[in-house]
Amino acid sequence: MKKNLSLATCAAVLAAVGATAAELWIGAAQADITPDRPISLSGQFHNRISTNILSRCTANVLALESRTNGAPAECAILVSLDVVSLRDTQEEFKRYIAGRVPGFDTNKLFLAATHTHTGPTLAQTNFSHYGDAMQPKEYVPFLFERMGDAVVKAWEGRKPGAVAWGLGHAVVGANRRVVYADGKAVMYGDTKKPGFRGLEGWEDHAVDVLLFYGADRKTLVATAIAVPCPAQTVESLYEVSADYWHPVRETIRKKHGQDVVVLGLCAPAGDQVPRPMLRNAAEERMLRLRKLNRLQELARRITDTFDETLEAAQADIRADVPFAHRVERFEVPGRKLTEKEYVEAKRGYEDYSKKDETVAEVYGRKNWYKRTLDRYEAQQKADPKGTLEIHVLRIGDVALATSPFELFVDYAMQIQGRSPAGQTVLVQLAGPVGTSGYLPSERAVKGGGYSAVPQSSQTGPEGGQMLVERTLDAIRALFR
Amino acid sequence: MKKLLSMTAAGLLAAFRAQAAELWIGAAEADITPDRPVSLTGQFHVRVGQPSNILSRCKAEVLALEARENGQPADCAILIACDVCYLPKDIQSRFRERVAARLKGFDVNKLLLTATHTHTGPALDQGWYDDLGGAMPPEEYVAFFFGRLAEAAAKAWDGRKPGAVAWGLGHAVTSQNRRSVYADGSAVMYGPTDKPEFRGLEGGEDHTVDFLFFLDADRKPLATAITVACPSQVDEGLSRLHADYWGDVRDELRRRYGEKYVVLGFCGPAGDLVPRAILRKSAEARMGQLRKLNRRQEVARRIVRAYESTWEIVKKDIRADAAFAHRVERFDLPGRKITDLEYEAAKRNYEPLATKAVLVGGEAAHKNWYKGTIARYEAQKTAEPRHAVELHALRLGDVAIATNPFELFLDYGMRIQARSPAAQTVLIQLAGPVDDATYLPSERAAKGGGYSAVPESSLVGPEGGQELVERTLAAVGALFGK
Repeated sequence: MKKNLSLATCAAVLAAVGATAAELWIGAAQADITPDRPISLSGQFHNRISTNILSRCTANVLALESRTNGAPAECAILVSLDVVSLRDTQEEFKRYIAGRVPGFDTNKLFLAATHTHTGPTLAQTNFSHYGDAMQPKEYVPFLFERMGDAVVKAWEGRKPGAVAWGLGHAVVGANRRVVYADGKAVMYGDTKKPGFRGLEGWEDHAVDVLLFYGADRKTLVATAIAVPCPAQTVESLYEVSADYWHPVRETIRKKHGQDVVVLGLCAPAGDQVPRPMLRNAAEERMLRLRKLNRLQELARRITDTFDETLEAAQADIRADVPFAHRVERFEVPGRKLTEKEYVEAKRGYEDYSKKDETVAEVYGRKNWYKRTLDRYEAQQKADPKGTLEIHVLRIGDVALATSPFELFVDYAMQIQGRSPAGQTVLVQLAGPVGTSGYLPSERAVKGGGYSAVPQSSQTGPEGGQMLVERTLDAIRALFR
Repeated sequence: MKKLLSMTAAGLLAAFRAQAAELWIGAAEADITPDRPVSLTGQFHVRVGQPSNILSRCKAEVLALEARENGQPADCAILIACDVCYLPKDIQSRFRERVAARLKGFDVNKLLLTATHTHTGPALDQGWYDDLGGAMPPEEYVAFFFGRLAEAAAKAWDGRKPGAVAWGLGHAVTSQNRRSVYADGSAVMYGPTDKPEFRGLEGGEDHTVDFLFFLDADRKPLATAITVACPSQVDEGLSRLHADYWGDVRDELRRRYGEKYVVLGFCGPAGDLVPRAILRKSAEARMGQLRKLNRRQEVARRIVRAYESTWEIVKKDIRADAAFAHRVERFDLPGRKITDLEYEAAKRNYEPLATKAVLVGGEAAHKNWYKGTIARYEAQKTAEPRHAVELHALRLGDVAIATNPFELFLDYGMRIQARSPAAQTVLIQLAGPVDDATYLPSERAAKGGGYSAVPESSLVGPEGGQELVERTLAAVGALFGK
């Protein structure tokens, strides 16, 4: 395992490329990953200790194995997790789970974060102190135990099944980067200013739906739904919440059975957000008339499109489909800091260094700048590089490709525009990523602002373009 | 009449009152499909729609509104959504003159024509074409068009009765941004997205749908106005008369709400948007196959679905007394100046076409397109270009409706939406008279170039666009006491 996980060479392809039609075995399980103690919630610069549970955070597991002539040919375990992001969690979990899933190559497992901002903190170093709350170093073993049991259950419970897929639409995410007449961009900037010139980029309102059935082709076992919008509607609460994925799961289970496992996947949405950026008053009035809050409204839109996509896609349920899974690890150039950016970061660091670390976001902000200074120092000795792991699967005519970033939609557009697959499902925040997970587009870097400044991103447009090309190469290899 | 139609720099023609008033509503439909071959507008090349081969009938949908305070008329509007590509410069004013005598008690300045932007509707002028392929001359068609429109306008106005209104915001993914941007910064409308140099779509997309519902005194549906930020041009290349997706939307809503239901299809700012799939084409096509719907029918399905979802909710909030006011403003916008480089490029493209003995396909239209740019360059040497614009701003309850005559890039729509004081703001493009270079590109589009952003496509550029934003906001603000 260590050998496999060691720094990859330029293009380490760890999987077979075959994608002939095969019998698909499917298993699924869910784990409740919400402890019964107050916990630290991640998603803001300041630490929030939970005071209540609004909805329970879960890990949702899908195990897939293809069998050709009765023999295992390929496999994957996908885990959707109600957390904000994953740092080293995936690699630690693979080590934890190794040996518990016989016949499964743990390299073929990936975790994907829904990006809820009201889920458990995974890294002890996120905040300076946790008071009487459950420490992240205590929480992670709890998570691994719960998630590990679900992975084992899904893998061991796999049975012959069938799959269907479809494309739906739901207006969930809005572009959150506000551009002004001087060319500057501000995340959540004021759109009422006379200098407002528009939202920076595209908005993606497609929803990819994968449906996994039992052998009877009627019983829905699991679904994976990719929405290009982070689940952060109630991002500032001090309550545990799976955000909009909770009512989505509840609604689907109510209709299709309590055992249906719903994997909420976040498609590239580094510049998207579930709050309305325009037409706020009209959106709010509709909420009042519907007697829904924003979180419930987004869930309504997602489940509506889920229903109508399922209705159309169930006419084309397939048991024998090509299935393949490539895991690639490669280096991408890191984002180099300019002298000016270094000076700004230094100023920010010095300002926060003078403040009391126990106050609100001081610790988080100080370290945000500190890491940027460290990167600047490091780049004096060697050009920065980052190691990426991406998973690319073929399931029938569908390509599913992951990235670990909060990936700006410009990159997704490029992959979508050039992908040879019948349907391409992109999943962000999947697998390990550093502490600054945004991958901003070229236009975003020019505009600046949070999410595009160097503090927010260890990888910049050069690395982003390489990610696009490597993802497309991997997809093409599966669709030759 | 002439006096009323003349334009001052800022002709403010309406009272600003917006007190709650009794709303009188009338609605009617006109069939504007002739029974003779007619030229279709929407492409560079000539196409003729034959009466024996009509895909769907083109219509004009009319909504007449009058507010009465203490029994007395206070303000009014007649809105007419036409299944045509655009409304040439003098069409609206000529129609107002034609219909004025039939609309008793109505100020014809308050009558507004809008285009759904179907690319398979009848031509209203000769446009860029040197011949019309044997179709009825546009002037003959316009006489027919005016006759049908006048009957419907009179029917709607004369038939107005006390009614009620509701409004709401829905969502339907109907459009995609059609401007592909490449690594060198250039932009191409409908440019390939599968090239390695493709870097993304230039701007955003607007998937909101504004709904206005008009009911009679018994709260029965009388008419609806639906604003979709997407031109009705799915089947834009056909040589058949066709209302495009609005035909399907109307058919479906009438099936549900009665054959007399009047459905006005408005186009929100969508100069850079299009109903065809630009990304995820194969997945979109497959879903169409599974649903047994073509793209046009699928777009209509999404709009009807949003309609139902919105109506179901807002029918709880129907209002008979709603503030109503209608401002008509006329002003000049700075025209887009042609640079030396743009002039040279236009000249280079024009000259081979000008000397060609026989022009084929879209060449005649292209020749006139470039000729127009050359003429503008010459004209700007003697005077700064200016272009007259008529803007309608209405208040209906908490809703603001604001029009513009352009194919307005979405960036401008965003600016108005963001700063509007209204609870819901409905923006309608291609409303009222405009010259044939109808696009109003954003700053980033003008930089990227390409059809729809080059000078040939736009008489007004970003400077005029920002002024339009400010003028619109001022008009809306005045209606909402801001």
